[in-house]
Amino acid sequence: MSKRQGSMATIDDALNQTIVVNENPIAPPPDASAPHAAPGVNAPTPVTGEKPETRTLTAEEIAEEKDKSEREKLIDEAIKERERQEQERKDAFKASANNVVDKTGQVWRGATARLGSIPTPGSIILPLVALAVFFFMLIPVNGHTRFVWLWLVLTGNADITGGGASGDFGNTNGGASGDFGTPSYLSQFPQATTIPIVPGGASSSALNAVLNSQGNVEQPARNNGFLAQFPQAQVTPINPTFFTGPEDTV
Amino acid sequence: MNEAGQWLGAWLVVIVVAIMLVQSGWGKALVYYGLWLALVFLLVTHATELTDILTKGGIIKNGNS
Repeated sequence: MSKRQGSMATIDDALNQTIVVNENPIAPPPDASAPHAAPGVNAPTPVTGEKPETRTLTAEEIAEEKDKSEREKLIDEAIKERERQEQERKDAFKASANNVVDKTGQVWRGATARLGSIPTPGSIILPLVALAVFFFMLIPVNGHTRFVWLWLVLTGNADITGGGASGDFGNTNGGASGDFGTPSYLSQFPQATTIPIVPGGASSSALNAVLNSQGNVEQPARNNGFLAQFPQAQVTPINPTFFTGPEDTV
Repeated sequence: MNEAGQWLGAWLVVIVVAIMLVQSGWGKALVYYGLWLALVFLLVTHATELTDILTKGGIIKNGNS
């Protein structure tokens, strides 16, 4: 057993000793500054005129006192040792945490430095412009890309009109507009064939009924059930014009 | 907020973040190569339209290809 282990055993023994508490304490000396004390509590001891008895310590008692002071010293040392070890543990943890933070910072700084040193030829503008160009060139809107629509507008093959499908289809300002029957529009579809529709030549009976009506769409429409839902409806006869686009090509 | 507002807000956030990143050296490289990546992605996903443009059939010239 090493000296240190022996010391620690002594300390543990000392710590394990039970402290005996005197349950019948000696009454405190009379206190003149407490006049309201209960009678008999701080009662003065009777003066007998005898000298207090003195007692010399025996060698055993002296040795015991020495042991006691020695034990207290060891206990103090042990407490200090434990505090030191605790402090060391805390310092080690702090050093470790600082190390992790430093390492992380180094990695971050290294990565950002490397990223920052990568060349960016043409600056941000170059990929931005390239992306915008291809965006306008490749993404179709209403059947054509934005560049194609621009080309069609510049060449007079498409018009920019106000309104659009606004939902107010009863007036003349809104609605889908465009001269879909004009040659300039049809010229975009060179393979399209325009089929003149004659009465009786349409594929649906309803359309044939309209064609046969010679412009009076009221009766055929009523007969086909649509206007039959609106018996009070007033229908103004129109002269229909028909266009067959690529969808109607046979 | 309607869908248009959300769309606009999302794009605004993207643009602001991109501008903030461009302010730093490393962020600039990140945005730069991110844009090139987006371009490549656009070309790959619209390869058909790109082929149409680059071939004779894709050219519209007053109805005569």
